[in-house]
Amino acid sequence: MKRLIYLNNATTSWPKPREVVEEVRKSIAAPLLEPGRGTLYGFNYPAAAREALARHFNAEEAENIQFTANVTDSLNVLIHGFARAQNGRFHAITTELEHNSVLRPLNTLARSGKIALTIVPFDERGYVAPESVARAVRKDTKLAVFTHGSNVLGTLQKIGKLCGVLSEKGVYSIVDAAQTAGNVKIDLSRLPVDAFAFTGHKYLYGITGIGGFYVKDPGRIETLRQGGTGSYSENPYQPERMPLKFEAGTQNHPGIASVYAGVGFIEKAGLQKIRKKTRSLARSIVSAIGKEENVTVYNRKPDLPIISFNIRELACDDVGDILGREYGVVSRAGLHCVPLLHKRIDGGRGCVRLSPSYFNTAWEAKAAGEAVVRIAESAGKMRRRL
Amino acid sequence: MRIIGERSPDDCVDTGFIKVYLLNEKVTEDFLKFLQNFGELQILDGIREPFYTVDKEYFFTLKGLVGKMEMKVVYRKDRMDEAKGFIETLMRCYSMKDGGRGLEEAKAAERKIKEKIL
Repeated sequence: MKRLIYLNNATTSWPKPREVVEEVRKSIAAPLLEPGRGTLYGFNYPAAAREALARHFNAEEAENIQFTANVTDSLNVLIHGFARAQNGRFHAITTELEHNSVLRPLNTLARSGKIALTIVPFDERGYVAPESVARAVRKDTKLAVFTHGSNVLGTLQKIGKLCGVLSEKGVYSIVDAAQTAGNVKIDLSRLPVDAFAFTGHKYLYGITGIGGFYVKDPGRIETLRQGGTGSYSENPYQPERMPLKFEAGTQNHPGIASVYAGVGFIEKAGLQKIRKKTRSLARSIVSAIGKEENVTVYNRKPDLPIISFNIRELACDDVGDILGREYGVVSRAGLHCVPLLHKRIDGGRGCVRLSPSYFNTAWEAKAAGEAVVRIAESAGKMRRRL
Repeated sequence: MRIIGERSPDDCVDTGFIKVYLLNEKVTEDFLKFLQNFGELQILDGIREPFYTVDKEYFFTLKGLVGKMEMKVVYRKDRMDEAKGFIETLMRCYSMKDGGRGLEEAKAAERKIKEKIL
């Protein structure tokens, strides 16, 4: 059996740290402690995870961290919740780098006539210039939603400057941190970000089905869901108080436990050490495949551990298939849910993405690079007739 | 040659709907030679095992490793039923091995399906 080389961490990280697996096991093995929904005394995972995340992101109010199913869920709650709180039609800004988790909610609002949408392009290096965002702001602009890190180009956007520009103009900013939470240092106390959405299953090393967001002023977002909170039950409406406002219903405790342990793992291993290693692995892959004539690398100097490429003459999903089936290298091929970005970089053809994590080794990065080179060399001698 | 089962459930990806079929015999270069009459063939040698694709534009792509008893099919758009029927016809006709009758029958099936979908 081939050794598995898992390089698809930008989709979902694997393996999970031992501590995460153990914490999830513990959370399932023990009876569920939910304040207000039982008389059990014990460990309160949601409260502990909120504290851990607030510490990790340096967020002022731990209670303003809310749990959701994933970052897409978070973005839907934030985008539609913000729109619902507005009177009438308004203008919103986003960028060409965005994932469908941003584009589809915004396009849905645009189609219904609730918003007018401007999409700001990224520059030739994959960054969105704060000046371009500033130019896109109109008198009726109320919302801007953009990614912190591109899931294909691996570029880290200057969210401090971007949100600063927007904040000066009174525009509400929502940041999609799917690729950066747990991957780079984020200090929410210093960033002029209004809302910040993250997922648990990528670089926070949690399991799937858990995500969340931080919102500076919960009053700016209307709730989309109403239901039981285990408290204020006499109130006929969803309580405005945090952390209840956006968390109707029983929580995903194993998921929350996984994120709690994931943050603990990052703190123990050290974010800088993790980042240093993953960037070194990414550089090693770029260096191996970037010299090959048949390979187009779309991001030779990624800020995040993401390498995107195509091999001339081959469809990206074929390259993904060969890497997986013949070399045991797990990648992701296709449009990566970022159709506008792909239209810009490869005409909408899609590409192959490799994304190492802290758990990959230098040997694995080398083997993956060699596999890509071997496929590229073979593509140059492909037979088209028998 | 014929399909005897499926290895995985349906899977929808950017390029289309994917099925992995189990076959009653290995995919050989001889079979691919037959298939090249119906689509664009590519064979990649020099990697661990030769990889092939046969692309029938706007309809489906067949792909896999030469010598394996399975084949991945990427179906395009909403033509899965017609496409699967056509793939089965191709396999059956290939198995005829009677000096061209199989090829003729498969070409007739191709004309018929083209009239229907194009």
